[in-house]
Order: sequence, then structure tokens, then C-alpha cells
Amino acid sequence: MNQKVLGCILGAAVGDAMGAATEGRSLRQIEAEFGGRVEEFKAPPSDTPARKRKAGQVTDAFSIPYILTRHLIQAKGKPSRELGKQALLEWGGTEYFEPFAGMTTRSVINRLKQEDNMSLWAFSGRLGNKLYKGHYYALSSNGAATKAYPEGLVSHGDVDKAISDTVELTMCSHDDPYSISGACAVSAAVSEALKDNTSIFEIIQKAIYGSIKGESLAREQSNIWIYPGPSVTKRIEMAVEIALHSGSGDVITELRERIGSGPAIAETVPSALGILIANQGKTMESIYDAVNIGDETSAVASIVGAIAGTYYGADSITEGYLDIINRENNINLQEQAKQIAALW
Amino acid sequence: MYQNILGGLIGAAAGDAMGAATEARTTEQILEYFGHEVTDFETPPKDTFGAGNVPGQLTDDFSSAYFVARHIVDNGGKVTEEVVQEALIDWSEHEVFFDRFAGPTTRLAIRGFQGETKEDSKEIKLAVRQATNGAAMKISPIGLLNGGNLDQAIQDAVTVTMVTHDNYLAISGACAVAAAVSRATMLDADIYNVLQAGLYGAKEGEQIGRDIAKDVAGPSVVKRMEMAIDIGLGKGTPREKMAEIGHRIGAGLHVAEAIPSAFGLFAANDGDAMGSIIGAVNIGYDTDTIATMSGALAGTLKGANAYPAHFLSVLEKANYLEIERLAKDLAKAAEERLQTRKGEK
Repeated sequence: MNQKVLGCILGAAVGDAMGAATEGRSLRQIEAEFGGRVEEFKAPPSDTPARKRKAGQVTDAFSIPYILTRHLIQAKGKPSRELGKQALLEWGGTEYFEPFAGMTTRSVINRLKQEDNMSLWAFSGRLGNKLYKGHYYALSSNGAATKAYPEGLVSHGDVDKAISDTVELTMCSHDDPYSISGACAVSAAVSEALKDNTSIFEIIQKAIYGSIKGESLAREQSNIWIYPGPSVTKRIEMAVEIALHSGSGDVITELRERIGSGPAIAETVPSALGILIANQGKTMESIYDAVNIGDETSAVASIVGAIAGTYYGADSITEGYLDIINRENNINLQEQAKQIAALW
Repeated sequence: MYQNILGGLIGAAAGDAMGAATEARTTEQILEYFGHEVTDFETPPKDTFGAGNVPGQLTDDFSSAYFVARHIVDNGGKVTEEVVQEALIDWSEHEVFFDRFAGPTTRLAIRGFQGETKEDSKEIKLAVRQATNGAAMKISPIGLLNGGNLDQAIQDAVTVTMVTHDNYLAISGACAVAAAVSRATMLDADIYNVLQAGLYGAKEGEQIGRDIAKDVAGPSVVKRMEMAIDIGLGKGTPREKMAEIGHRIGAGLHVAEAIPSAFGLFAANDGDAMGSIIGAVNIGYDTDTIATMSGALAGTLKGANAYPAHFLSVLEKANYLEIERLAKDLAKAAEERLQTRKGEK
């Protein structure tokens, strides 16, 4: 059993499931609801998207890449836009779709379900705006980044392959440069973290490399949609600065208040990387900070869990969590980890 | 004072109308479509919200500000929840402005106070995705009405904001704009003290909002304003700073993007009346809202004469609004408020 591969998918699942309880809340609302920070699986409150689900159950942040990984394994690790679409379509038929589908993914799947019959005008943003088809609130959203770790795993440490595979797969749903930039930052970081001799510094350097290269490869795609929005690369620079010069202050507060952790990919990915630096990559500490940063905690925590879990391996995750995740979600992460490693 | 008030209204209206042509595009897409930076009223392209507008025609930003200000003035200058609701219902019945342009949070709120009950009312919904810029976009006349009285501007901005955007971040953003505009009407106003008033308003608004409004997750308006002002007052040309603000702060409809960007662009252009608008119109994304706010700040500071002569008449004709009359009435109401305050002292 490759402990790094298992650590990645288990870390992503644990982050997602733990974040499901704090999703959408501010830190103050988290503390009021739970009487303090959340550092274990909790049943999601009735005002969250995951209401009525149980402690330890995952949401979209993990279930989408889990299904995508199954499709990648079937295709012997070879990614394609079509594969990405098929994985999304399968996910669109699961229990996760209705409560959890995010702003971009929901409209993409709705279109796929209609077999591409939906006209571009109907598919595009509200009021028939044809300039973009993302949600105007966050044109480049974090759904691209939460499903990017599988390409990092499949790449077996080949960072450039992870990036080009991520561009190809992301184009099936989040086909704009900033979404792809953020997704490539995550897959490049996971790819680097698979190596035996690496460091958090090297992992963050590869994330920055991925965000720059991913954005530039995206801009070369013929059917790319160009949206305005904050730059993922510049926001990563800012998050790194915050993580390194908040010696006297609280890094997480600064990330929350300056970078943010909402649906915009230029908030989620930079904050996730800042959290990793602040905790020197320690898996559970990083996940706890992500779960308590507020706003879209499932997304931030699943990204943080995937990268830290890869770097430190499955042993860095609380004992017993693997069983809880497998049982509560009716999945077998050891089996999937084996199949991923068998692709190399 | 009258010249400042009229300047604030023209700046806000011109920002909205100019931004209507560039909204939702990136800076590069704006240059590509128009062949140049947008520096005057243009016809909005067919693929954007403003499609169908003629040059100079407004969207939701200044039109809602105008309706709110008009109703307040007609109410003897008194700012109450009822008068704001009436103004917004009146605005929502306007065939152009509401149907085509009203934003998500405002739409929801107006439906609410018109008596429409929400489904699923047992669940207490978190106020996610409601910390938007729709309160701050219409708040500048509140600053004009309370020229020189920052705390009253803040208090009235809270009243107006709570009608549609009941969360502390939206209040923080609205109070920033109201306080800065209030400061900009004063004889000794300059870039620094207008920015300082904006930061003061954002902090006060955040405090008040924490007490009376819903909590909400999201980045801090105050801290993002500091970051945007750092860029605005830093090195580089106004164009370079515009790009940095767009890339680092963001120019979307979140209150912690749009409001800080408006202040950053005002600073980046040394408060220049046209420069502050042009920066916002060409930054991309939610350009009309940002330009409405940066235009209000700069226009109030520099006065009506800082704009090309045709601006006022084009804006009035294209929208069938009496902006000059509103400025006169606001000036009168502001003067009355000032005298009452002196009398109380």
C-alpha cells in the first residue's frame, strides 16, 4: 500500500467531511454553533447544505474527484475532456448532486444531462448574458481545484504531466484561465508531494509554477472562455507573504480576512496553501485550520488534506478515520489507492 | 457645497452609464471590443447586461441611488426604513431599471418586503452570498445629505442598508462610501482625509453591523480597503495600479472586492474626477458599480465643473431623470440638517 496515495485521498475525504459541518459559516458562527473550534467529525447543522447527513459523510468536494478517479483508473490513467464529462454525468446521478452541486458544476451537468441540446444563450449566465457561463458571483470557482488532486496522483511526480492533464480535464467544466490556474496549482502540489525527498517549500513552489503554467496553457486553448477576476497566482503570492510575515499575528485570521475562503478559486486555493505553510504541512493541524477558516470550508479543507496527506502519508491522519470514512460513505479508499499506484 | 453635491451625483451617474458598456469584460476584452480605453459614454455591446441601452443610459446602480435620494428628499430629508422601502418599490416598478438590472440580494429583499413569503421558512438560512455591493452602490447621496457629519452619514447608511442587505459586511462597505462622500463635501477635503473617512466608516459600519445585522462569512472590507489603498498610493502609473487592484483585490460584486477597489482607484488617480471613473470603467468585471462609487467620491471632492459640459445633459436626457433638481434639493436638505445640528449644539 502506497501511504502517500492513500494519505492524499483520505486527507481529501477527511477535510471534506469535517468541513461539511462548518460550511458557509463565519468563525463566530462556528464557535456559537459548536461551542468552539471543530476538530472532529460532527453532524452538519440544519442550515447547511449537508443537513440531515451524518458525521463523517463527504459532500461534493470529495465525491466528485472520487468518481473522477474511478474513471481515470478505467482509462488506465489517460485523461480526456470526454472522460471528465462522463465522470460528471455519473456524479450528477448520485445522491450528492442535488444538495451539493456548486455554482459552475450544476449548470455544466444540467447541460450535459440534456445532451448538449441546451443553447449557448440558455447555458450562459443569468439574463442571457453571453459573455460568460460561470456564476457572476465568482466566475472562476473552486470546483475546479477540489477535483484536481487525482491528476497529481496519476502523474507519479511528473509535475508537467500533472499540469497538462489537469488543463485537459478541467476544460470539461471550468474552461477559463483562472479556474485552470487554481486547479493546476493543486495537482502540481500533489505531484511534487508524492516525491520522497521534498519539502513544503518545494511543494508551494510547484503550486506557484502550476498556477502560472496552467493559466498560460489555458489561454492557448482554442475554446477557452476569458473571464475577469482576481489572479490566482497573485493571490497565492499574497497568501505566502501573509503566512511568512504574520510572526506576531494569527496567520489564519489574516488569510480569512485578506484572502478569503469563499467560492472564488482565487480565495480557496491561495488560502489553502497559506494554511499549509502556517502549519508546516502537518496534516491534521492544517485540516483543522481549514475547517475553522469559515465560508467554503469543505473545499479548503479537502485541498489542504489532499496535499498534506500526500506529503506526510496516511499515518499522519487520525487513527480510525479511514474506517469511519469507508463505512459512512460506503467506499473503499485502500482499494482505490492500490488501483492508482498500479497505474504507474 | 452645491457644486460638490452636483459633482457627486454626476460622478456616480457617469460611472454607472460608462461602466454599463464595459461590465463583465476583462480589461483586455474592453480594449479589444472598443479599440481603446473607454473614456466617455458608449453603446453597450449586445452580449452584456446593458445591451439595448443608449450611450449615457444607466443600470441599477445610480438609478436606485437616485430613487432613494429622491424619496428621502421628498420626505423632508428624513431617512427611515419606510421611505427606503417605498423608494425601492417605486424603483422596482420602473420598466427599465429593475427588471433588467436588479441584482440578486436587492431582488430578494424587495420581494420580501412586498410580502412574498419565502419557501422553506423553518430552516434558518445562513446569509451566504449576500455580502454584495448592492447597498454601497446606492449610498453616496446619503453622504451628500450629511456633508461634514460623518457619524450621521454612517447612521443613515446603516438604516438604508438594512432594508436590503442585512449583514455586517454590506453595512461596512456602505458606511465606508457614505462617510467618505460626506467628508469629500467639506472645504478642507483632500485625498487623505477622504480615504481616512472611508476607513473610519468601514470600521464603524463593521462594529454597528456586528451588533444589529446578520453575521456572514467573507473577507474583511476594512483590510481589503487598506490593501487597495496601499496599491493606489504606491508606485506605478494609474493604469498599472488599476491592473494590480484588479488582480489582487478583485473587481467583482462581493462587497470586499468592489468597495475596496473603488477606493483604491480613487487613490490611484489622485482623486481626479474623470481618472477615478476611467480606472473603474476599464478594470473589468463589475465596472459600473465600482465606477458609480469611485465617481461619487471623486466627483464630490472635485465638484461638478470637473466633468465635461455635456455629461449632465446627456445623463438627464438618456434617463429622464432630473439630476440637477435632485442636487438642489439635496443641498437644501443638507443645509437644513447642518443648521439643525448647529442649533442643537
